[in-house]
Amino acid sequence: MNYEEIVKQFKSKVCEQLRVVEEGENRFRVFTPFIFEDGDHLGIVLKKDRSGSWALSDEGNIYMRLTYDLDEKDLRSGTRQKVISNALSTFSVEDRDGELVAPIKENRYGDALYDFVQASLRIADVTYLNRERVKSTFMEDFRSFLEANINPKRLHFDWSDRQHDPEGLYSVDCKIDTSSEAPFFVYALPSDDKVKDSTIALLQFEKWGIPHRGVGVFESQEDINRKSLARFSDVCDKQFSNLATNKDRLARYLGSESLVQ
Amino acid sequence: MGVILTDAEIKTLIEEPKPLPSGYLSKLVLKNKSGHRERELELVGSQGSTFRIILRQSLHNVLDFSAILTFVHPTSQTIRLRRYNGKSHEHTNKLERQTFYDFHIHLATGVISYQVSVKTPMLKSRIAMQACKMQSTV
Repeated sequence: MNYEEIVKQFKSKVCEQLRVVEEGENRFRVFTPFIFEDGDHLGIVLKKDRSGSWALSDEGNIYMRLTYDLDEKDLRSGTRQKVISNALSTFSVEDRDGELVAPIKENRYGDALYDFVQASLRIADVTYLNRERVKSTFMEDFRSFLEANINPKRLHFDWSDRQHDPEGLYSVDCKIDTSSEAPFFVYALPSDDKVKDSTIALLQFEKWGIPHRGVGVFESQEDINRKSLARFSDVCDKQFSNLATNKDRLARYLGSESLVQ
Repeated sequence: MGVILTDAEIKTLIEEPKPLPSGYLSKLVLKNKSGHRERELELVGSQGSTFRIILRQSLHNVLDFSAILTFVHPTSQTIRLRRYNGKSHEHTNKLERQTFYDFHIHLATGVISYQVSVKTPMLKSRIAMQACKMQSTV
């Protein structure tokens, strides 16, 4: 096969699989040969946006596909967020509240399509950054442990101070009443974010002058960011590095008050 | 290493009755996210297998939807057994070299990482209805 034939074949193959079909008023579906791993093709629509300008759009499909395996908030932070932002800025694609949009500028429809496809495929690939979505049973285990070891009348899950905090912005995973004025404020800590939120809450209780004894039970303390851990240590009275190997100790500590089972 | 299911195991899981919990309709009301609506429901089959129903629908195009039946393995790995898609994009079955643009169902097979999809032109309205309404015969 000679050079001209190869080029002709390349061009005809790409052109054959590129079609634009009218689907409604000011709306066309753009069919391309670009596919995802599962065989689905990119879903692309050429339509007029709210400003009356032509634009290419995925109508929310890419992010929707990503949420099969990821929580939406995982797309808004960390490496995934960086990959997505980079893809959007590199190819001039906008994220309009979850809809990927490539406005057509200066009638350059071909360039817009090329950029849109590249951005879409790059963003779709963030799914490969996903760690296996393992459903942790830590929160359920934490709750079950307290219910099994503490008098239920003294347990108040998801407690907040209604007087100081009517909207419940600063909550405690479990408040345990004691014979003293200072109840236990027990936090289950599976992640950095939870440690930070718990630190803020304990600081706020201090500020309000609410007597308490902070207790932190980590899912795995060694997985927590050092700075977050240091800040939490300043406001928390007692910490347990994990639940699994500390059940006896935790039960004895929380059971040190006469009102506990 | 990931979990591998044979065709027979997939068939068994598909056929396992999956009683819906009381009040399941309210638990499946879709909630708005960025650009789409979504909801998930975990349920236990009659043989003790854990499944998850995953629903997604674009806010911009009601025909762009997914209704997914996922098996949750005891190792916590999830395997999609069936995925019902609306008519919003083409699909190509690479091994069969078949491309179509229609409502379709992704079916898990015993071949690792390969799902075949079947076009459902005759049943398209019924599939759309089932995907959106999640009838109790699932």
